[in-house]
Parts: sequence; structure tokens; C-alpha cells
Amino acid sequence: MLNAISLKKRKAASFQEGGVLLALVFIFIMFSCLSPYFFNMNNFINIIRQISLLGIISMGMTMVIACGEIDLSVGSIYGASAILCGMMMINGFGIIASLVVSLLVGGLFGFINGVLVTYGRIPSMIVTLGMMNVARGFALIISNGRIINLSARTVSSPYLNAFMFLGQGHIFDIPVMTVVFILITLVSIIVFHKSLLGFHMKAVGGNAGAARASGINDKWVKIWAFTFMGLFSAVAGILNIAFLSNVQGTSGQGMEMNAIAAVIIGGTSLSGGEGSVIGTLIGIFIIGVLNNGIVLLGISPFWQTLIIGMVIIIAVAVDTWVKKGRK
Amino acid sequence: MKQIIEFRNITKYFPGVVALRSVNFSIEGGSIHALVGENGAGKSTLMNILGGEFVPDSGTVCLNGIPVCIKNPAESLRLGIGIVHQELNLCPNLTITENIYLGREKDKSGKVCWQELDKKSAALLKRLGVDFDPKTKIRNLSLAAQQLIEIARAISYDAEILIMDEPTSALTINESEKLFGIIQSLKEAGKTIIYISHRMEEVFRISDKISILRDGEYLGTYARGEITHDKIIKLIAGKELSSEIVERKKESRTYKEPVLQVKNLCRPGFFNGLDFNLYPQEILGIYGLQGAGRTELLETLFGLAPSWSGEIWLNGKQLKNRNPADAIRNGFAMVPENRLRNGIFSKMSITENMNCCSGIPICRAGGLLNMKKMVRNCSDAADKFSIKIACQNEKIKNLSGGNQQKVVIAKWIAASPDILMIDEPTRGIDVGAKAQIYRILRKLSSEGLSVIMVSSELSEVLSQCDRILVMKGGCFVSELTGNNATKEKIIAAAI
Repeated sequence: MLNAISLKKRKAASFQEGGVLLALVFIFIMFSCLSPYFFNMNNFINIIRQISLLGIISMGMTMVIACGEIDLSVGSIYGASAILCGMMMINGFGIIASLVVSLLVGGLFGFINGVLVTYGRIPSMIVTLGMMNVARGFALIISNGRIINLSARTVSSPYLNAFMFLGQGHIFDIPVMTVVFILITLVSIIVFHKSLLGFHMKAVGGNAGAARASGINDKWVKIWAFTFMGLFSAVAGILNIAFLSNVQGTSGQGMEMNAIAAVIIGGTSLSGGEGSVIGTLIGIFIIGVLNNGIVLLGISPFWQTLIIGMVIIIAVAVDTWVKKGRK
Repeated sequence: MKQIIEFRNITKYFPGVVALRSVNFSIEGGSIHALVGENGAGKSTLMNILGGEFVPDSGTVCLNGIPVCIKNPAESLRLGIGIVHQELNLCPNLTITENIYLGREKDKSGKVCWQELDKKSAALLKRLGVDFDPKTKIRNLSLAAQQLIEIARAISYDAEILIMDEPTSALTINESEKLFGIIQSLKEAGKTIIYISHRMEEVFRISDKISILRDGEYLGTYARGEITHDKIIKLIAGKELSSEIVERKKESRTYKEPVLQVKNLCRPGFFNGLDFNLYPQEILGIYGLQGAGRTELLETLFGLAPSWSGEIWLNGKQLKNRNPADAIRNGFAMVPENRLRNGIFSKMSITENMNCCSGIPICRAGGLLNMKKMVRNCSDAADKFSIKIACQNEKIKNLSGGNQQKVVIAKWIAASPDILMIDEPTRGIDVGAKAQIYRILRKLSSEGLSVIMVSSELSEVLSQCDRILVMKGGCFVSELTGNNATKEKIIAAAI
């Protein structure tokens, strides 16, 4: 949080994340007042663990959306790479091999999305809608619809516990999952805000014609964004299987919408050309804190969905009105 | 005959320019009245005032002697004014009938009866002397046919006044002939037609009267027999150079080795067999009317054209620019015609815009951005080109058009090209910034850069270029240098 505030100061001129940050602070204070269980360290750790997987995916989504594209297949890639990793492990492949192969397959799914969108000239909405089903089907076929359990009985590798540490372990009380999330966030900041590739992503998303005329290879910039997206989805999927010690083919359904929601709440416009990792981070926190607070208040979980939906609309509406007002 | 339209002291300002300066004239009912002038003379602005797109800043429009206030296009239609735009405004996915009656589908009782409307539009088309099935989708019609549908739609509103903005620019000779027949028959039916065109032959052929605009000023109306072709060209061209724009000194130079040689360059549908040379330190002007193929020529040189043939030699070596990245590597730079669409990244900051080009090294090892260098590039350029920047992190869209253009030019210069191609360098820019941009271009060319400048602005080409090529219909029709280059000669060649 402190990090977000100091970054906000640095960017004070543009005020981009200011509004969302205020909303987060407001929700935070509200739940602190309403629920006696909200404001304590255990709960905070709970929240950051809960948002880690969605957070990893949303980082990739920020890049894809900044390129002016969308990816609906992330939930399926998340499920498919988790299933692949689990299947390989119970079939006697080494842990490292399973990890590496499933990460690469996740990246490959994203890469194929990118190639079809750019060289295939198919709208990303359609390509990734198709890939959503293809990857889901892939997960269901290789698992044959069964639940895959990882335990000492099914996996013979002596390093199984080390693998489980990724999902269940803690480093100084912080879940390893969250540590991975923080690392992915740092990588995203470097790629998206500090590297030439990220600069070109914003240029291509903002004005593809001008980018091409400036000698930027718009196709490869987009392919990279989709590949990062696939890779991050696989990372999250694998952490999920390590956390639960089991996974089924339907895992990750609906995740794409939550990731898109986090990015949009964070102030990134769907039309592309802009975006901020920190904004997305705040968006994820808003979703996470809302989910957590609603449960703590004993409100029916059915309300969660409705409230998150309203927050998306309000966030974008306020953003649009403020921007219009400024003009 | 009575005056159907009367313009009284119409004045219209746009940011930085006066588009129309107290224009006074009237148009007779039942006549074909042509409106001529250079690009940007104010013809379209005047017609858009009639069409309700713009409201004049002062002055009144009188219709049949009564002052009217045309606030929006619907109002204009209600008053009986129909416009056939240069760029067609039809929905290609809908049928002829659906397009003609779009927004007016209901009959008096509030029902929609397509059979009835189909019959009505068939009758309408018959009046225009064509026989289309009203159920045909617009996308299946030729451009000429689509134009007729626009005319039919205007007539279906019972328009008494029909404005046609360059209707023949996309038509073949046969199609144009047919259109002239229809215009004639509309006149016989008592309609008034305002005809905007660059093509003098057409204007002399069909119009009863000709009005001339230049730089937003009305220069007079002449009956067809009263004025000659040459006189009109003199009037259109007779612009004195603005005092702020310093004319480039025309040295009689001896051209030695060309930097760029273009041989037999063809791009199907746009131009054919173009040959030209570009010499060191030269500003080569390419003048022509819209649609002459100038922009397409630059695009082809810059690797943006999908298919073309011919040879491009740079410093004695033949090369092929397959895409802009190739072109940039080979030392080309292009400032595009449409700044908003292809020139700037409106969501990005000034610094980012200034560095967004593959020819500018802004990378550290590992693909990380060298932010310090980006900021330095930007402040260097701001100094060199006197760009007024309050804050480098400001978004570029908050700058004036002139400063935006300077940023775009500065960016391309930062890529250190040998050849700068610049398309309409001062479109939408006020006079002060224009003079600065000319100064920048002259300085760059004296430092060794070769410049190709495409422009529709005659005074610009005349005052800034060492040599002028006139392009018409995809060919070079004239090459003029030094004192040989006069306004009359250029216009006569281009029209």
C-alpha cells in the first residue's frame, strides 16, 4: 500500500490512480468500522493470499488490454496448465519437468492467440473465445474429467513437499503464492513501464497506424503481450494446484472476467493505449477487500457477485465522467 | 429569376484561421451554380453552413428572402436543402430503400410498410433514369450508383436545393456523363444545384454561374459566358504571400548526384510510371489536387503500400522498403498527412511521442528504456525547434496543432534520416507556426537533409520549394524550377 501511495505522488501530475486509490481506502475504512474481524494481521494475510492468483493473471491482462486487445482464454489456460502439470506428476514425470512443460504450454497457448490475432487478422475477442473452449477441452480430455489428486500415494517424487510449498508454504508469514505474485508484479512493472516492449505496447494500443508508420513491429508487440498473458495464467494455475493439492478440468472458469474487471477498475481503458500496473494492483485489492469484507459481515455470498458488478460499473462511470469533466 | 439563397456577410472562424470572411452573394433559383477555389478556400465550410454542420460566427443566410438559422442537419433537410457529400454517407449493409428512408420508415399511422417504401424508392430511382432493384444492398452497387442513391435520398426529402461536393471525383468519364444528364434534368424540374468542383472543364460545361472563393474571401460571380478559363485560374491563384512567410532564396543550383532516384514507380489504382530524382539539400515540392496520388506516392516510398513495382535507388544503391521499419533503417522519415490518425499518439506524453520511433536509440542493454535519454532527446528537440512545452509529461493532445506538428517533425529528425518526406506540413496550423515550420525545414535542408514536401497549398509550395513537380491523375504533368514556377502555371497543370 505504501508503495502505491508513493507512486501516486510521483505521478501526481496525471492523477491516474488517485481516484481508485481513494475508493480502496474508503472501502478499507468502511469494513474496518463495520466488522471487528477485518482490521487485523491474519485477515490481511488472508486477503493477499486470496488475491494472489487473480492478481498474477490481471498483470498479463493489463498488457493485453493496453495493446487494445482482450483475452478471454486465461481461465481455461489456467485450468489446462494446472491439469497438465498434475497429470505429468502422477504419471511419473519429474516435478521440474512437469513445471517447465506446463509453463511452456501456457505460454504457447498465449503465443498462438497472439499469432492468430496479428498474422491471422482475427479479432482477439473471437480468437480467445475459441481458445477458451479449446484450452478447456484440452484440460478435460487429458484429465478425462476426473479430479487429479496430488499426494504421496499418487506422486512418487521425493520433492512433492517442495512443490506443495509453492502453494501452501510461508516465508516470514507471507504466503509463497503472494511472494510469487509480488515477483510477477515487479516483472510486469519492468516490462510494461520500464522496457521498450512496454512502451511499444502502449504505442500500438493507442494508435496502431502511427506505431507501424514509426517502424514498430506491431504484430510482435501484441504476440509478446499474449505470450506473457498465457505464461502468467500458467503460473497462477500451477500455484493453484499446489495450494489445493488437487485440481479438476473446470478449474478457473470465470477467472477471465474477474481479471478484466480488476484491470478496468484500475483505470485502464478497454480501448487500449494506456494502463498501469499499479492501477491494476489497486483494482485487485478492491475486488479482494470487497469479497473478504462481505464474507466477514455475514452477508450472503450471492451478494458478492452483485456488488462486484456494481463496483465495475460505478468505477468506469466515475472515471468517464471525471475525464469528460476535465475536458 | 428570384434569389433562392442569399449569403449576407457570412464569417466563420476556426481556431487560428478565418475560414470565411464576410461572404456576400446569392444564388438564383432553378440554376446550376458552381463554386470553385483552391483546397481550403472555404467552399466546403460555406456548404456545411447551409447543411447545418456549422453555424456562422456572424452573418445570415436567407432562404427565399427570409433569414433562417440552420442549427443542425435535420433543420437543413426540413428547409429543403440536400447535400451529396464527397465522402458518401450510406450504410453499406442496408438496402437502397432502407438507406433512402432511414429514420423516416413509419407512415402517418405509425406503421412500417417496406413494400410501400420499396415502391416509392423505385419510383424515385425511375425519375433519375435508373433501374435498380430497391432491395439491392448498397455494398453491391458501384460508387457512381451509390452517389445516385445519395441524390435520390436528397430528392426524397423534397429538397429544392441540392449541393454536390466534388461528385465526379470518384467517377469514370461515362459515369460522369450520366451524372451531368441527371443534373440537367433536375434543373429542368426546377431544382437549384450548387456544384463544387476542381475540374474546370466540368464547371464550364454544366454551370450557369460560377462563384469564386479564395482564402475565405468571395471574389465574384460570373455567368458562364462572361469569364474565361484563364481568368478563373488567375483569380483562384492570385494569392499574395503572407508577409510572415519568408520566401526561400532560389539559387540557381547545379544538380549533380541525386540522393534518391525513383524509376518507373507504379502502384495500381493510384499512379503509374513515376520517375524523379531528389538532390542533396533540396526541398522538392509535389503539388496536386486531392486524389492526384501524392500521399500514395509517399506511402509507397515509405513501405506502406501493399503492392507496387519500380525501382528506388538511394545513393546509388537499389533498395526495397518492405515496411516502415525498413524505410527508417534506410534513412527515410515520413511526417504523415493526417496528424491525428497517423502522426501522434494522443494518449501518450510529449516525451513518449518524441521518442516513439524505431530509428531512435532509447534502449539500454536488456531492452530497458533509458528514461534519462528520452527526456534529454525531448528537451534538446524542444530547444532546437522552439517547441513550447510546459511539462514534458503532459499529454500531446493538449498541445496546439503547430506544436504537435513540431513534435512529430522533431521525432523524425531525431531518427537522423537522409530523406524527410513531409505530407501537408502545415495543415490545420496557424500562420505563426507555419512560418516557424518553414524556417525549420529550410534549416534542416541547408544542413544536408533532402526534403520531399507534398502540399495542396500553392503559396507554400511556391515559397518553400526549390523545384516543383505537379501531379495529376497519378502522373507528373509538369516540372517547374526557379522563376519558371508561377501560380498560374502550376494551377493550369494541376487542374
